[in-house]
Amino acid sequence: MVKCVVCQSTIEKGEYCDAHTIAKNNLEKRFSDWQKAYEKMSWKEYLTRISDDADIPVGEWAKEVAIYLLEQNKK
Amino acid sequence: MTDYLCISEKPTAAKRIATALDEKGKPKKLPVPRNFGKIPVWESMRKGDRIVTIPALGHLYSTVEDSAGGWHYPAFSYKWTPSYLANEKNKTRPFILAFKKFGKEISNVIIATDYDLEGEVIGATIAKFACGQDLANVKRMRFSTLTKSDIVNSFEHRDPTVNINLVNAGFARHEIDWLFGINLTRALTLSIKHATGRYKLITTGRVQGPTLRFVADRERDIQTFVPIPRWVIDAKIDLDGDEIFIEYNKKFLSSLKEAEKVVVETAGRDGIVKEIGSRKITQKPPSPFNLGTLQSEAYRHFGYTPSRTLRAAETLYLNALISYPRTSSQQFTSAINHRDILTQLTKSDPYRIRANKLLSKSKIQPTFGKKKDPAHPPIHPTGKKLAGNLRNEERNLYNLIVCRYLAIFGEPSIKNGLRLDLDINGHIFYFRGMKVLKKGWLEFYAPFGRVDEVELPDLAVGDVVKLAYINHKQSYTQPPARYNPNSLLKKMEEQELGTKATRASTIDILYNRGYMEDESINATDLGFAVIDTLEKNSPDIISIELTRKLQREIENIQTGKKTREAVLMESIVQLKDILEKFHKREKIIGITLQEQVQNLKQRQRILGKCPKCKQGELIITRSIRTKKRFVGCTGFYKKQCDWSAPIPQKGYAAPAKKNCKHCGFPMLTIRRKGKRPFTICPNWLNCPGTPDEVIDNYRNNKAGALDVFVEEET
Repeated sequence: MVKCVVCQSTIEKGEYCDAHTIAKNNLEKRFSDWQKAYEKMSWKEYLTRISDDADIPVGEWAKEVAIYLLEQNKK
Repeated sequence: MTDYLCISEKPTAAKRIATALDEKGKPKKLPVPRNFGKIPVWESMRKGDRIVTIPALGHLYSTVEDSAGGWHYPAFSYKWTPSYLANEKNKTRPFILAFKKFGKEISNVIIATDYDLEGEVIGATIAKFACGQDLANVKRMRFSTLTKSDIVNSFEHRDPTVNINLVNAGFARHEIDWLFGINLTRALTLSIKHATGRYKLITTGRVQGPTLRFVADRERDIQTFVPIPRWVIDAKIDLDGDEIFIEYNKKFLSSLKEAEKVVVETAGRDGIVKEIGSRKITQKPPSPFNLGTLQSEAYRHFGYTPSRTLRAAETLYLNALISYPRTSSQQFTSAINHRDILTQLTKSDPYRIRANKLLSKSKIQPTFGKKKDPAHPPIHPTGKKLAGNLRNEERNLYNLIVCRYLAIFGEPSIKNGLRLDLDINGHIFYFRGMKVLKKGWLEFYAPFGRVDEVELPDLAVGDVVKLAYINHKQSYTQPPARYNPNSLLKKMEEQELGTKATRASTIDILYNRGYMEDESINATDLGFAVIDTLEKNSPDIISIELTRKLQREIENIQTGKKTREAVLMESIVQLKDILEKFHKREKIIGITLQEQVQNLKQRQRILGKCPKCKQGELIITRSIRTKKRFVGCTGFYKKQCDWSAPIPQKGYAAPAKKNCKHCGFPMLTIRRKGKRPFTICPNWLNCPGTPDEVIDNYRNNKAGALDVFVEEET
């Protein structure tokens, strides 16, 4: 048994629980759309916008992953 | 002279039946022994025959476990027993006593409950268990309205026996629901108990689980949603000093560069009217109401939840104002005399003109939808004049039902959709309008079928107009909308989960169990935890396919394709398989559920970020020394922040999920039994919004100092 790196819930294996795995996949999948929309955008800028801008209708779990990744500074 | 014992479903219905069957319209209330309480037993005289009508109070019998093995699973042994023995809250004993007494005296038993699965079970259990009748000898009255003519007609032409397939299907549904509900609930609850030693009742059922899954799946989609940026063009033209919105021909632009290009190329330019087009739109009259469409329209127009609509519709039915509401039918049979109902409606002021207009037509032909229900016609008014003792919601619903009924005889409506195309430097903008050419059925459905007409500006092709304003506006793709009680009910209907009679109550149960909350339905952490855990460890429990299959099997009993015993046996085999698989993973299920329950409890204490240190979180907690409840910052444990404040000690305190408008502190809600909940600011000692009186009372150690808040806030 291990813990999800974001919410600390018990999981059988891996880094993220199911919910945060979906959220992380969605974050990765949408990054190219954001790059196209703004022409230039780094992964870090993208995560910062997602986690800081209250006007963006991003889901709470996706936001939690973005904050975690920013803290870890990794993709 | 023959004596008949008539079993009715509810006291109101019993009185109506007795009154209708009595030749003088004045049935006699028979005296009953004291221990029967105030049970109304009616005696009606008809053509020399005596009819004794006794009401039930819904189900008088229910299923209970038939073993003394304690709280365990699997539990497959059950029996039917009086509901007051199964649950002492049920005050049904006097009703059973009344049926037993008169059942001994009268051997001709007629079931006159609602003609559906539930009604059949209510009647059959009373006839069998209380009156000791063989169901093959029990007669059946079938009616769709509680009007005198319908009741008399159903008595005169009563079925020689009950619909035994319907009875068996009803029994099987109850038994299957009991088997699934009791076993799955015990399995979930015991998984926590066995894994952690703690007791937390976690309930689920055959329809509840899959329904909650819809909500949880949607919640997951929302919480993991990452939007895509997009832009809209916001533009207005100037027409004789009036600024009028126009829309760009592309609703959304996918890049900032593209949006900026449109603005740069059009700003300060004039537009030329390029084309003015119109399109005729013909809209057929709506189908007659069945329960689902009535619940949907009532939610749309009045915001009534499906269960509230059903309750109000049942009151209207019991008052003989409308036909039986638990129907899925959208097709009338020739048995309904529409001309007669419309004539009756002309006697009511609000409908007189419209009903007369319809009656003047040579042919009165209602529309029809796809769904059929052989038991009952679509919901329609009986024509009886509205009584004065109805509540507002019942009146509103009645008006909706009558207007819809009138509308189904109307002609199609014809609208003219208009569009003016404006060319601004090669970019096309639109202005849309709408004109009603022929009201048709909309006239009869008023005020519910209103169309907002929008006139086009007085312009011709080639005219030049001035662009008053243009800019681009950032927007984002939106997460899917949460279900509301109405859309969830529709989803259940679409997926064939539950029946028309049970869907609304399943939704209520999920609210009451704390699995979902709010009007815009939100799966609670507990609801999500249950689904999440079961999805991973025992997906069959929440499988939509399994529930749907069981539903079809019940329908097979109803149509005589399968026997009750065969279906029950198959269900037990399936359930056994599910429970065996569950048992193998009981420990991990228990641990995960308990962890989620704990998380939920933790989250229920957190109000929000501490405005003082901006790092810790404000939580509702208790003093170890005094045991008193207060709000404090979690930074205290790290010696970073010492903010704390007293809060009311009585009632249930929970985060209000909003901040104080005076000082910005996250607020909390206090709920006290029998009183309206109220919201207070935890920073009340320093908050500029706190009345002076509260501070004075607190400093003077006055008991209930914070109660002034209560009055202020409610």
